[in-house]
Amino acid sequence: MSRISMSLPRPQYVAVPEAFISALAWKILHVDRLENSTDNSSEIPMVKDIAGKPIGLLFRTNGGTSRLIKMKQTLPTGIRLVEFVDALEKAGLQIEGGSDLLGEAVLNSLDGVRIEKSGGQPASPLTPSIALLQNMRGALGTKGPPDTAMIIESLFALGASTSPELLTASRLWLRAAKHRMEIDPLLNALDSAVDRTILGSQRVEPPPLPAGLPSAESVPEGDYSGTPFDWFASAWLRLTSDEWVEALPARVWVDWATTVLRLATGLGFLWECSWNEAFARAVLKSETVSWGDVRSEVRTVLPWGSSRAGTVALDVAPQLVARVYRSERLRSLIADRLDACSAAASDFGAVMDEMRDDEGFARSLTEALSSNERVGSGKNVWEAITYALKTRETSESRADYYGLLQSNGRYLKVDPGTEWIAVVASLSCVTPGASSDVGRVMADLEKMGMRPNLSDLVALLERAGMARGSADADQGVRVESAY
Amino acid sequence: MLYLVGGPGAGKSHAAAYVVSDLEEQSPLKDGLAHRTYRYETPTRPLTVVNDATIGDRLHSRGALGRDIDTATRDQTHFFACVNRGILVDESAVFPLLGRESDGPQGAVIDWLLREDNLKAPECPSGWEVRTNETKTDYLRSGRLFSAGAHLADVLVVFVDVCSLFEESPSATVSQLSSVGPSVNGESYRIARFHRRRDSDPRKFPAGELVAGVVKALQVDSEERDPAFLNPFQANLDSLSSDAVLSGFLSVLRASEIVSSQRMTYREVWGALVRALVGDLPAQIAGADIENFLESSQPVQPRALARFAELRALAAFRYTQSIFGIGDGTDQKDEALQNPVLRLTRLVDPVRDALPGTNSPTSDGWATPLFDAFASEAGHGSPLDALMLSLSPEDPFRDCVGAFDRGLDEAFVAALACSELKQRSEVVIWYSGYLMRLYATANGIPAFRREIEIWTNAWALSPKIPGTLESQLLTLLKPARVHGATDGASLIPIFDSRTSPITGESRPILALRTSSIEMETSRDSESLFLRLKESGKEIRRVLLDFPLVREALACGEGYAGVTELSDITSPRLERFRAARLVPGKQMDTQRYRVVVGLTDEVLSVGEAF
Repeated sequence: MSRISMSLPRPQYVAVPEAFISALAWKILHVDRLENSTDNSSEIPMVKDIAGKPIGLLFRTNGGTSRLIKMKQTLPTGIRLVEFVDALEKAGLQIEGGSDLLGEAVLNSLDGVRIEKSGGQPASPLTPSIALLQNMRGALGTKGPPDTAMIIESLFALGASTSPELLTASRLWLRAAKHRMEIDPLLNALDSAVDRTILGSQRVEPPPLPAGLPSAESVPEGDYSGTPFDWFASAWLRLTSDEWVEALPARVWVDWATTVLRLATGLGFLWECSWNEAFARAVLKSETVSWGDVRSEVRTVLPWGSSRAGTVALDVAPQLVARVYRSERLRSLIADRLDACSAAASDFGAVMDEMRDDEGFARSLTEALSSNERVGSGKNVWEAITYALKTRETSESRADYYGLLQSNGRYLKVDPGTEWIAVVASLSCVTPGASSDVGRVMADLEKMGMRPNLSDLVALLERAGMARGSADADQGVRVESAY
Repeated sequence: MLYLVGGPGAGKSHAAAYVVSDLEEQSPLKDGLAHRTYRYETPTRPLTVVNDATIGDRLHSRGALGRDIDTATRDQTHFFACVNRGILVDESAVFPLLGRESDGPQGAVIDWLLREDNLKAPECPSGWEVRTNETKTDYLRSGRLFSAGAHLADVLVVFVDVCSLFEESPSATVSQLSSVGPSVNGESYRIARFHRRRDSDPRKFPAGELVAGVVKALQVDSEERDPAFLNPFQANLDSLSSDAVLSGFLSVLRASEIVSSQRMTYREVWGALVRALVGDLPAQIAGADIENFLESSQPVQPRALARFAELRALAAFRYTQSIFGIGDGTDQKDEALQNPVLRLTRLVDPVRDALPGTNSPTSDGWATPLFDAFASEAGHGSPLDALMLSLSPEDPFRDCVGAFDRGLDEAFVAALACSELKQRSEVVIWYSGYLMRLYATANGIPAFRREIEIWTNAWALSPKIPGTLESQLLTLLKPARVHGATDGASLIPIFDSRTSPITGESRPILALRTSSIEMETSRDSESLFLRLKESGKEIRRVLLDFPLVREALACGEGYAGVTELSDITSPRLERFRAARLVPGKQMDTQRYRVVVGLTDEVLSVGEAF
């Protein structure tokens, strides 16, 4: 189906990587119905308190109330901790010594990355219940956070040629998380203890899809093949399959899944920006073009220069910031014009003709294309993209090895972390333990919208310990999956 | 069918030219251009030669090699092709193995050429098959091409980029046709232990043969020279004419290959040779102007410091300076990153790793004679004389030093005598670096010699690991829980983002207790792999290359060490440890622990109530 407007909900920055998977959990396990519940007699943390303020849930937090939201900690303490440990024991966990030690050890093991600004900490979303221990409001500290889950579903739907309402990406995550618990009794025990005591067994599984879940082989080639959406769909389908769940340790799987979601968000919106620009230029051209023609104009979404260039040459910030702001202006112009169109939205040719004949519209497009103003919603989109793709700076000893962009003062350059390349290259080997060649990794990177130098890519792969032999084999260098 | 597979610069075209040198070409095209295929007459059948598979044929650019193979098989000609691996990957996309029935042999052949040794080929539906013969090595593989059971051709592939040009070439023999076909036997490829290179004959290495030959051809009779004329290029030729010095030079180049895990092709060897003889002069002047250049570069300044500066400029062309991209001391960092030879050699610049000690079998170090030479009075102020006095008569350094170096030394002594303190230290720093490189390169001492030595030993001893390396690798992989206890159990956190073993005190956390690891190694041409087993089960294979050896050698007494290469090694180690956390097969749930403080308790996961 030809789309002029890609119908992606507007994003905001997601400061906490754990929030991506948590968002999917809240959506698919139907816990967001609690938003409207007014039953405050129970002691399970609700999402609206008596005074009507929305509640932000976070695993570890100092509590506190701002004007807009109230923060609540989901980490059990006091009598809740005793109940929690009891539930752990009933789930089958036993230690020799004092049981409160067990509770503390388990809770410490669930810690995610500390949030610098507030000092709070999410839980690492290892299982469905644990993923529910923070909500988006709590993780981001805002009253009206964006519907991250729907954004992810929209990105997935474009690549897999389905519709976002089916919640396929979330279902795939849930299936993977459940399979994880099947093969890992310890996590199973933790999950049931958390569900029973902290969440009060409020989760509701969705009814299965009539057609079942897609597999990597069953997805048809859609309009968006060769784009970051296509890459996201195949990568997500692969990663959530049973064999990949079995091949990776629990925490590593969560980190990889988060990386894929981050990349989908960052690169997907960058692609949308390039699309808006390409479409605007197509309207201003005199000859007729098809939707496919415009789509093929969008190629490199993130310029990845050679490692031998200097810092200033590699800085992508100026180019991308301008593009994002322009795109947002164009997007609203185009959307408004589409609403006023008499032709059916599905008739690409007719819509183009109508737009082309409108001189006023053409003028406003021209003006927007050449503008360098930084006003409007571009800021949110830009922040969403950079937070998704940038390497986190934390003061802890754990560095973020999964980032794609590095910031250096005001410069921003493409400098992937070692584990980033491990994720991308391993998934391009399709199955765990398989090997592939650099050519295929390059092809996947091209889908994502990047064209690195071949020797840079080989050097990265070698550093990660994934490339075999440096025989001057060009695209033939073997790549082994990291797991 | 004969295939030479490898990257550019490996000498494939050269070998092809040799093969056809006695043969007559069928209908030769005399247009002076390189063509894709050539046909020759041989006593038995015609021979088709594809010299450069990168040249596409006129009609289609993709799949050209596959079509040539198909044509040759149908016409029953001999076939000889020089191919890049990258081309093979492209071709395999055009002619997949599991292709259509009507496809010819090309799918099966290309797949066989690309296939890793130990993997079995799936059945090809078109009935074409290449069966590998028994004897094969890393660089040589022979097989037979069958079509639906009928033996059509013998196939031989030589991987020309597998063996280093700085090691002895393994020899291979083809014994003539028996009823089954020709049988090919190749020696295994060997890497020499680094310290034994000192005693080996440099002409046995392909690169050594090349360099020795070139040097001999260029050498000028000593009577024709003017002793007062300071000629660094002649000095280079003289130094490299000595076998011992040549051997040292080749050892340093070999070291750069090992440290970077790359191999030089003939292209890089020529580059290194040119750089050794004339530095980067070809980028500055034309070849015919070299005499004039030398004339105009002779030092003319009367004042000692200025004269020394002029000589320093000339000294940049001395092979021991130019091969590491040192020049006259100004910053040349950018060039080093771009130049394919310097990118490798600057990693092993001896000055980076000047360990104190005397260059003897019992000591790792080598630089003490140089420190002493600058400090002592024995040479009456001349470091070169002092150094020569302290060395043994057989030291290759004596053969390396020539008139140029002596002239430079005299200028140094004079400059030092009349310079102020500020300039003096700059002069001494530069000259000491110069002498250090001259000495080290003559003796074949690269930076990180100890690590390289241990790596070559580990390669030679595979599958066993040298004792020193083994205990340090163990510490790297499993640092002791309690410092100082070398055989403590190791505890890795189960759900943490990093899998670094818990050391010292810890807050309460869930962990996995790991048992002892058994290690052995395996080889694959130049690569060495560490195979890790726990309780008999193989966990993982980790590439044991220079960075890992270096990281391991930084460990001791249960403490894990850190080097500048930690960024490279830690992800690999992470993955090794994380492999034990994979549920199901790898993770032994009997080993869960709850860690608190300095102790840990057993955690059992049983049935739910």
